[in-house]
Amino acid sequence: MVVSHDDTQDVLQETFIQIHTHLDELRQAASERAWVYRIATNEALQWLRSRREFLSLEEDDASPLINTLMADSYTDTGDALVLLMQEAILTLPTMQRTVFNLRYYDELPYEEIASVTGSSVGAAKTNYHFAKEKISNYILAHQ
Amino acid sequence: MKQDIFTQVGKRTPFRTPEGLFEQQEQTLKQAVSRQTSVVRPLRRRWWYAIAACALLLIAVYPVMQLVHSSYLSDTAPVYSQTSSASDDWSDFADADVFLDNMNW
Repeated sequence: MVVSHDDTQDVLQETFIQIHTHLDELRQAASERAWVYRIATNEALQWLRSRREFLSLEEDDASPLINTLMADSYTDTGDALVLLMQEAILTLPTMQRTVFNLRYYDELPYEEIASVTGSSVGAAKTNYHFAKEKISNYILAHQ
Repeated sequence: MKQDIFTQVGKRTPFRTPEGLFEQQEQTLKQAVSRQTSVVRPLRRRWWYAIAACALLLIAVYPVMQLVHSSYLSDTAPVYSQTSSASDDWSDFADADVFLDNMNW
């Protein structure tokens, strides 16, 4: 979600502070993992909203995020295909990107993804399906 | 072909982390959390103390106020009934007063 190393550290720190502050609510949460992921996702989205340069007029204009990814000193540019896949992920709309990351990298079940994103299981599945399609098409077009 | 892309890439990402990041992060978080708890908790406690003090003050003062109010009413009611023409007296006094009479209202 957040591509730069420094920004990720800020979001991570804020996430842990929020978890610590709202630890009492954890006992009421149905799934502890989903609760932690929801906080982390909210913090990442809040951070993205706070950065004007990442709020493009057109939803599919991911150039500021891609530029940040390329310019970051902690981005490994050695593997072109891996980098291209990250570029493709960054072109996705926020909801699809969130769902894709949670499902593909973190292997969360759709029920938990729905709980994290505040949507239905069906919507999570649809978003994941569209995300995979778009990523494949992007990579095929740019390879 | 499309499935091949995901098989080829797997879960690899281009993101790297510097050496000792998580150890350093742990220290930073501990400091941040202790800073926060030392600031927020006493403030919260102070709010509760203030609310409790106000409630106690209200409980202590209310019966006294009730007593004072009722005794004031009982003291003033007969006097006030005796001077029912107080406003007439005041008008007469105002008419006769040289200073008030010379004022340009």
